[in-house]
Amino acid sequence: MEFLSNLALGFATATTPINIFYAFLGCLLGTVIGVLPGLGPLLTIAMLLPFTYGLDPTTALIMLAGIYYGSQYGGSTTAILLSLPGETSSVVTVIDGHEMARQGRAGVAIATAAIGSFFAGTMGSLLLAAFVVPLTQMAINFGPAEYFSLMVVGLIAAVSLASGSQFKALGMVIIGLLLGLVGVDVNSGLTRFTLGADFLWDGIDFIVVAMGLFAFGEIIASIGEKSGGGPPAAIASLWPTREDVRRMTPPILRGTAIGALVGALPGAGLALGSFFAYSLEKRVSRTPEIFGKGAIEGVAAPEAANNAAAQTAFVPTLALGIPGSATMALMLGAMTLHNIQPGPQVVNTNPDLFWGLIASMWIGNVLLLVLNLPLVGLWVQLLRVPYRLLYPMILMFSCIGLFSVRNSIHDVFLAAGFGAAGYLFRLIRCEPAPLLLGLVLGPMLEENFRRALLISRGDYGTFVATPVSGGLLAMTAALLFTFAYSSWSRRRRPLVTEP
Amino acid sequence: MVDEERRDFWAGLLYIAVGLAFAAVATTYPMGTASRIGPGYFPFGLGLALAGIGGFLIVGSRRGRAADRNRVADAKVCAGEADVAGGLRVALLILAAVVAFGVLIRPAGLLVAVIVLVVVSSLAGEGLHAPLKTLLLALAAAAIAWAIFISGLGLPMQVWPAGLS
Repeated sequence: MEFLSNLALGFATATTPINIFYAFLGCLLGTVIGVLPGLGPLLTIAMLLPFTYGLDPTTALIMLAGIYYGSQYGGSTTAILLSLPGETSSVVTVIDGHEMARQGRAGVAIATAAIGSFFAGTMGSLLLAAFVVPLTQMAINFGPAEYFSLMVVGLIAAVSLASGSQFKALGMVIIGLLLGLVGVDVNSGLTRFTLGADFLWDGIDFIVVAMGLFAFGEIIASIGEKSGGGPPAAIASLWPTREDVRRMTPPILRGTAIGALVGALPGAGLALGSFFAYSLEKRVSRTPEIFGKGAIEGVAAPEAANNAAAQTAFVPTLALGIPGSATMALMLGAMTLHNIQPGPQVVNTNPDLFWGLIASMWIGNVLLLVLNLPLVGLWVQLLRVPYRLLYPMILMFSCIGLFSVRNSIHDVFLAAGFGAAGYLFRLIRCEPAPLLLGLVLGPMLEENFRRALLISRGDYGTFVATPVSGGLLAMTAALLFTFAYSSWSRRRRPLVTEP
Repeated sequence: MVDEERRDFWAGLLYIAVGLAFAAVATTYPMGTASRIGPGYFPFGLGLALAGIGGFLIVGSRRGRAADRNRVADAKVCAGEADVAGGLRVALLILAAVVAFGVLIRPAGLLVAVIVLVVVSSLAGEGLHAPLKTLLLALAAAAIAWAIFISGLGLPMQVWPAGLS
């Protein structure tokens, strides 16, 4: 009962004309920014934060939240259309989403992402509202050993993203982990693997690798195919068919559940959610071979997981005052600026803020759906532009985006280097997606490993001491075993010569 | 050797090289003890693991494997890589364009950098067939870039060549 009256209070706060206006503005800005490669919600929020000083704190947060979600939507759009993951969370969407676009089903893919995200956002908001306390409890109980094991499982899950050899993908994950360790080591102050280059002290930025491996690689590969000058693949209906809707529903449900759970954990949540959801779909599917070739489930599940995780990512921020990511840290900063102390008491001391935020999250999701579905047609028109005109534009946006991340030309050069690496990877059929996850999780993995060992004073047994951690590692061992088994058993079949 | 195996072989070789390289560098960092791991501990382990996987891949590729699992995807990739020489030219041009952008953006400003980027990358597509169209595209791109990033978003970067304006 109290829950309902709180929600009512929330909606009353969120639906004031001014709040709706700012929510809409935030969503619009967020989507536009999200579509532009390189610029992300972090930069946008940072830039727009000063404009919110004059606003009412609730309104300010509502707008910032709108930007945050909007950029997630925008990021999925570029992932699908251009094979460019704007953020970690869109990496998985690229795999099947871009394939769908190549098959002329870009509209369906974008619509699926929008619908999945909306549903997950709605559910996520409800879950957030209802389960703030238990979710917080769960987040508190996750110690470094559990985090480590969860991330290990996540990385193994990333391996199953690859449609090719799993050991190759595992290798890519490790390369990603190693690349993630480049830079200054937080604990010792030592610069690692920087080869004397001081621009590497801050590490290798995610967008640099994503741009190089995905965007540049895609452009290089596509020019050869499309410069024949033929018309692009006929674009089928923009809307999902009944069959599509039937197929996307279970993945959306599963993705939401996974995303909501994993998202509540500070830090790892957002990146892992979509990877877990995708690999779960692949495992429960009766036709796993369609993944990687334009399976709608491969878009619906990760997108739902993303959005659900984005909602529950507010849990540690609001309830514990622990920001889960840099973007959350900015939101935290915004709250502090407006004199709100996040923490377990925020629900009580500022109920209108908390519930207003939750209600506006939902409204934001509605607005985004309203904004994006009609835009699908517009985005798809973009694909009709002859590729020889399109790809220089994409390059332009990419390069400017790259440069503007840290105002560094070295990032541009580094991305070109990764573009070359991406070309080589394609030749030996090593898939880039697992590398990106490794890159993001590398530092966190090491940090939790270090912490767990510190607390246990060097006892490796700490990783199997708790049921959660032990269970997760057991899952990892089982998965690795199945990889090895399928790899060896393939070898027993007689050699088949290529035609 | 079948294509698939050849790819696995090279991938394995790459992994061994990268893994050993990282591990070697990691040994120059303090390792610490199990209870207080140093900066070299984790990357050393990872590097060795990577090299191990590489070895596994190489062994696997020489023993002969059925490639039927990746047939469909392979065919697509084979068709795409059929013209490796042509692909290489495209790759080099695109990457050269990006590098040119990076080199020019500070001294020559955004507009010049964008124009050069578009012109060089267009070479990868249809070569010098339509120089006027390419130039128009470059100018249009520069205008759009200015409109969105400088005028619209107000990003701090050099617009005109240093020394002008």
